Amino acid sequence: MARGHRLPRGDGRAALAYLTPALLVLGGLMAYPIYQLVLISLFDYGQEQVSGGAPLVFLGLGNYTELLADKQFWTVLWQTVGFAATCVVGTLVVGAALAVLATRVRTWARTLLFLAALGAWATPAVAGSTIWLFLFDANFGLVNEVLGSTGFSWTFDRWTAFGLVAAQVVWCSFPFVMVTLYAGIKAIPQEVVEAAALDGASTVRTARSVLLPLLRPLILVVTIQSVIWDFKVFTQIYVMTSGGGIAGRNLVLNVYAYQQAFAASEYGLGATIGVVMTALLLLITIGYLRALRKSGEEL
Amino acid sequence: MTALLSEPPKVAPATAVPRRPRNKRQLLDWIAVHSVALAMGVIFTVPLVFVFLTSVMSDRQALTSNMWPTEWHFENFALVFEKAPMLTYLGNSLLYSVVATAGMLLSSVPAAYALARFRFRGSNAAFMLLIAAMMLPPQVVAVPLYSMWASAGLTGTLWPLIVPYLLGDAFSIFLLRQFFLTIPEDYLDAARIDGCNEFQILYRVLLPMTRPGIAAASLFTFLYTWNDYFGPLLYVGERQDSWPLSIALASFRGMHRATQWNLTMAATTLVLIPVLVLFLFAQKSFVRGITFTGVKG
Repeated sequence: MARGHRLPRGDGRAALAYLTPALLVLGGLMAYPIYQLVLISLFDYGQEQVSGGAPLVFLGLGNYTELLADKQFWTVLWQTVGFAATCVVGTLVVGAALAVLATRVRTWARTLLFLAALGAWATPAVAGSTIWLFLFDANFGLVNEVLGSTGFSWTFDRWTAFGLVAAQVVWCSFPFVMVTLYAGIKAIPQEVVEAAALDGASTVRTARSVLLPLLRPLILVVTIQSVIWDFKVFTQIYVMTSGGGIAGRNLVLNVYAYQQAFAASEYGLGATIGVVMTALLLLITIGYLRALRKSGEEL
Repeated sequence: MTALLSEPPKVAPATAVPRRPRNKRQLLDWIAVHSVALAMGVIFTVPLVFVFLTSVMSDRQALTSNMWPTEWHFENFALVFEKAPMLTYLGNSLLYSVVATAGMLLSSVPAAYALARFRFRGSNAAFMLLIAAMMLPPQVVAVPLYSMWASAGLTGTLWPLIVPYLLGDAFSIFLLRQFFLTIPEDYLDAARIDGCNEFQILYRVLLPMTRPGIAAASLFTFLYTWNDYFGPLLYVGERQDSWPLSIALASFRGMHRATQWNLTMAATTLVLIPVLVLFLFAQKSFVRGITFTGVKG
């Protein structure tokens, strides 16, 4: 994994010194909560149990079998995967394109791009979602006015609603990709590019064979982070589709878990969804890392 | 110390700011690229413009869908300060964001370096632990964590949110590690040959070379903590004098029976400004790219 293959021995001890505080906090702050979460998911844990009105009932995997037998869970699961995939692709494409664009324009244009990006990013999710709803309002929204489609409700239809939320998610998450990749491009030493030019490589060739491989570690981090974020989208769905759309047809897993846990006071079931979500995310990420390593990439 | 470290040669960043165009084709190219940038900049700014426009509307207009203020109420900004002790909130937000960002740099840079460049037993496991830590939804781990901090007597303050940054933040470590990996190993080898130890390589070679990355990681941590709503709500939700701006912002919505969108958006604008100002300062580290690198040729 690490590239320090030419390092002297005794690396382990040095690494430990560098890593111990982080490992302590990560391990400590994770292990106990995960243990608790898994534990709760094994019980019938609702309002009555919290207030002590009813005894705790150990269900074993009961919550899990109930969840997996629930048709709505599967619908929500596939919706979440599709929605997250759309958001990830959109975020990466927009972010990468703007990062490259930012390296090619003059200072004023770049500053404008970055301010727009950071403003989008720094806008709290609730305020951002509300403004988007204003802009896409069926009767008075600016977008319908410009498109001449006054009266068209963007949030009524399942797919336009998902599309609108996805666009909002891309709007507030592309800046992360843009800033990271821009910083990465900026950190590439000039002589690496010069050396390629001296060897007679064209601009495109240089970009593909020199810059892209150097940026790979960053593409990895923005991809994984986007997957994690977009899989767990909550606020945008909650605000823009009023808690998951008509009859819950715009639900994603995180909102579904929240509704089960708090609205329906089924904390045990909510915890179960949390466990399943985390496990799914881990599977997706490990699968992705495996695939990368198989294709010969160092991670 | 060797000459290499005392007098680092200057190296221009890979993509220097483009010169003004010289011939016709370059001019067209220039115009095309800049129009796209301008259009993108404007489109992405539209929602922000409406945040601002709503913030200067009257109470009544803010509830309608008329988007252009019929009267301009700039006193809304002053009203925000009257309605809430914004300066206290600002102080709390600064405490959280500044200490967390500084702590993140101190703790996460060495950890990221170890993960990027050292090979040791368990490095794979440490890397996976990192990724797993990024995945846990904060809502999921909230209750057990709260009881842990309560037994330490720190609930009611922002420290349960700050302390983890002082020890290491999973996302920042991952991000910094990836930035460190973008630097070709040859640079570090050259420094090693010149007699640098690992610590010197990190601070004299790797950090200066990845300055844009350091700036990005700092910006991300600052933004995340600045906007963090869920964490503060959990730990200081009951203690109004410890509130950061993010909580105050949300409370504007709930203060009266009908949400006062104009004041909410005015407060939002006020919360956004420090971030944009910070960026204008941080921008230098992005634009200048590398001014020091350890090795030449």
